[in-house]
Amino acid sequence: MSTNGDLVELRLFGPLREVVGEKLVSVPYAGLTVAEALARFADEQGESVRPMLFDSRGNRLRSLILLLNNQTVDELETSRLRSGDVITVLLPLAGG
Amino acid sequence: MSDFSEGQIERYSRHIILREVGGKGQSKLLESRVLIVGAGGLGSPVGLYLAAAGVGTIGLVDSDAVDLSNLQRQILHTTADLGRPKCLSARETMEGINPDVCVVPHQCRLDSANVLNVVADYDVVVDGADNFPTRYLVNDACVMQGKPLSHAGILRFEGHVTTIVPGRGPCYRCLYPEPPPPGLVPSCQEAGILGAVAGIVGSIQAAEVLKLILGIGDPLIGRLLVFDGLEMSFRSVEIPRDPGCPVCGDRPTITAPIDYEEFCRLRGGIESNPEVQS
Ligand SMILES: [Zn+2]
Repeated sequence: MSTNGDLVELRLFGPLREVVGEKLVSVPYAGLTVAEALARFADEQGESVRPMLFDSRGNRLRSLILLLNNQTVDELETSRLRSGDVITVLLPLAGG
Repeated sequence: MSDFSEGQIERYSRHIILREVGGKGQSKLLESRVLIVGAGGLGSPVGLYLAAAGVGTIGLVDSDAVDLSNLQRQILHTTADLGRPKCLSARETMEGINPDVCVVPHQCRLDSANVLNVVADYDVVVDGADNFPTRYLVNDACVMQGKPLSHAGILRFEGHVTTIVPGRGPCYRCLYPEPPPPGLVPSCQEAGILGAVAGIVGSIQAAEVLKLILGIGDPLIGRLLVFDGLEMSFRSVEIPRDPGCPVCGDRPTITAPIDYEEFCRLRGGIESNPEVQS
C-alpha cells in the first residue's frame, strides 16, 4: 500500500507518453534513486516501455534526458527521491 | 544602410523602426547566409519568415518531391507543386515573397562526404530534418565548423527547440549523446503531426536565427524549450554542456562527420524514411 507520502510524479513526453497513455503518472517511488525509479517503472510497465528507457543489455539509453524537478540530474544513482518530486523523461523527436 | 532602395525602406520599415534592428540590422540580414536543412514542416515557416525578413541568401537542402500528404503542414508548397522538387517549389515561393532573397537549392541528401562543404558556405544553419542521422550529421558538422545551429524536432502535438552555438553552450550530442535505437521514436509519417505545431516551432526557429544574425536578445543557448500543444504550454529546461561530449567536449572523439547507416535499413517491413522531408 502506498500513501501520498511516497508519491513522486513521472512527466512523460513524446513516444513514451503515447505508449503509457498518460502525461503524468504518480508512482510510490519516494526513497528510491532516480536510476532505481526508472528501472522500477520499466518493470511495472512491461515490454512496451522498457525499450524506451533501457537497451537490450539493461543499460539506460543514452538518448534520454532525465530531469529531476526540471533540473538535469548529475547523481542519478545516489540522490534519493522525495515525496512530490517530479521526474521528467524526454526522448529526442525526429520529425521536422 | 545607405544603399537601401525606396522599396526596401518601405518593405523593411517595420523592422527598421525596431531599435534592436534598425537600418544596420536590416543590412546585416540582407548580407547574411542561412542554410535550412529540410524544406518540410519546420523548414516551411523558417523559409517563409527568413525570406520575408530579407535574409539575403538562403540555402535549402532537400532531395524530395512535393507529395500530397505534405501539404497539410508544409506551407512553402502548393497543390500546383505536386511532384516538383521541394527545393525548387520552395525557391519559387520564397523569391516570390521577396525578390531581395537569393535561394540556393541543394537538391541532395546530406551525408558524411558532403555535409562540411555544404555547411561551410553559410553563417547560420537550421535543422528541420525529419530523421536522426541527418540531425546528428548536421550537429557534428556545425560544431566542427563553429556554425550556430537552430535545432528543432516535432511529433504529434509536441516540439523541442534549442539553439546551439559551439563554444557557448551544449550541442545536440550533449543533450542526446547517441541517437535512439532505430524504430523507437516514430516519424511524423508514422505517428502524425498537427500542422500548426510545425508552424509554431518553426517560427521559433526563424526568430532565433534572426536574433543570432542581429546579435540581440538571449538565444536558446543551453536551454531546451519543450512545447506541448495539447496543454498549450512551454517548458524551458536548462541543459549544460557536457565536457565529455564526443563532439564538442574537451577531448572530442568524433572529429569527422559520420553516417548512421543502421537507420537506413528496412525496419518491421516498412521502409523507414531517411529522406530529409517532412
Ligand atoms: Zn556537445
